[in-house]
Amino acid sequence: MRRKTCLGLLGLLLLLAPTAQAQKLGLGGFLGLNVPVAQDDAGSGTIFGFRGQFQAIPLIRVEPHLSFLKNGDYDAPGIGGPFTLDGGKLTSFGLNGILGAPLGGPGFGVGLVAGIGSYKLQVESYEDDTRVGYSGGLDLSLGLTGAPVKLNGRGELLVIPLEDGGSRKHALLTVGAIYSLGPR
Amino acid sequence: MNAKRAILIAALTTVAAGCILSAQWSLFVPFAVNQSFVNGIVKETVNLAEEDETWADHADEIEQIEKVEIDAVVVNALGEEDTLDMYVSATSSYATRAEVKAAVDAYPLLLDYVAPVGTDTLTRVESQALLQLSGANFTNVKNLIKTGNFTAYITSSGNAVVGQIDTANVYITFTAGS
Repeated sequence: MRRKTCLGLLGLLLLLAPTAQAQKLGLGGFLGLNVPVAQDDAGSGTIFGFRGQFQAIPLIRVEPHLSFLKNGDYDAPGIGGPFTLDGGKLTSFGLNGILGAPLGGPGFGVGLVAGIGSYKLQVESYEDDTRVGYSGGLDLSLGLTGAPVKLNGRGELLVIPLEDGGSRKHALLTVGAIYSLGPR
Repeated sequence: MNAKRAILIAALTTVAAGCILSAQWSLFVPFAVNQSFVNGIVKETVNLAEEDETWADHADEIEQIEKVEIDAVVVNALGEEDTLDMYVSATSSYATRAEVKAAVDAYPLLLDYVAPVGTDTLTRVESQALLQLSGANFTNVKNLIKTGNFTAYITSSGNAVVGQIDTANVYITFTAGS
């Protein structure tokens, strides 16, 4: 049973990896949409940030990142209102693991992304709140022959568990580019 | 798979599901409508499960209080500026401003709102600068509100029947399972 599972996983990895490659390091940036999920006190906003990538082994990339999420302001009732209140912002750094498509090289690639990070929530008038968050999703990439830059689109669900239970969740949809360093 | 592992997996699954399936809800509770100050206070006991359907629906799944804000319309008949504070407490029997101020279980939610002579509106946005939203005090406020039952006290420096609260609202954002 375990052997079949391992073989199946290996087959999946081979399908996800379009080409072998020589690049080991990459640097890039991304931007996109940040949609708070089921949060009455935050509207849809933006995300941007920076990523480094390291091809740890052929099918696994390690990706440290620095991200800045801005929640949209939201309308709230009140005497003399409604009022527009601050939805807050999140600053984070963390580490992703990407299983599948290689760092460089031409072609279309698919990768599974899972990550962990530190997220600092800042809302006007309230104390900052720093928590560990977890993310997972799908990464689609496109590399052109001979080009050092690889474009990517990524969809992720970010879950930030709260102190007393429950969580804040964000759907993240980003586009970005990674510049591969080293030989091509 | 042995029983211990099954129980562990079930427990982890339950925790993860509770974490994933939670949401942030906002509600507001109107109170102190047309109440005059007596002995320097206006007070009202709040039962959130009775006041708000959303809270009642999730009463068994409240995880934590996220935000607390207020607004009010104040009629100041003191003849001079009046300084108002707001406290919340699990004790509903305090009858004077001095009792509220001295109580160790009465936590300040808003301090030093200076009400001018006449009628004035303290908006939700204006109140944010006066709210006591930090440290152990706010933790105590959140833990009290999480119980769903508390008494809100508005104290007046006038310490007499000098005016009234036309209306006041408490706005609460909380995390609960769904």
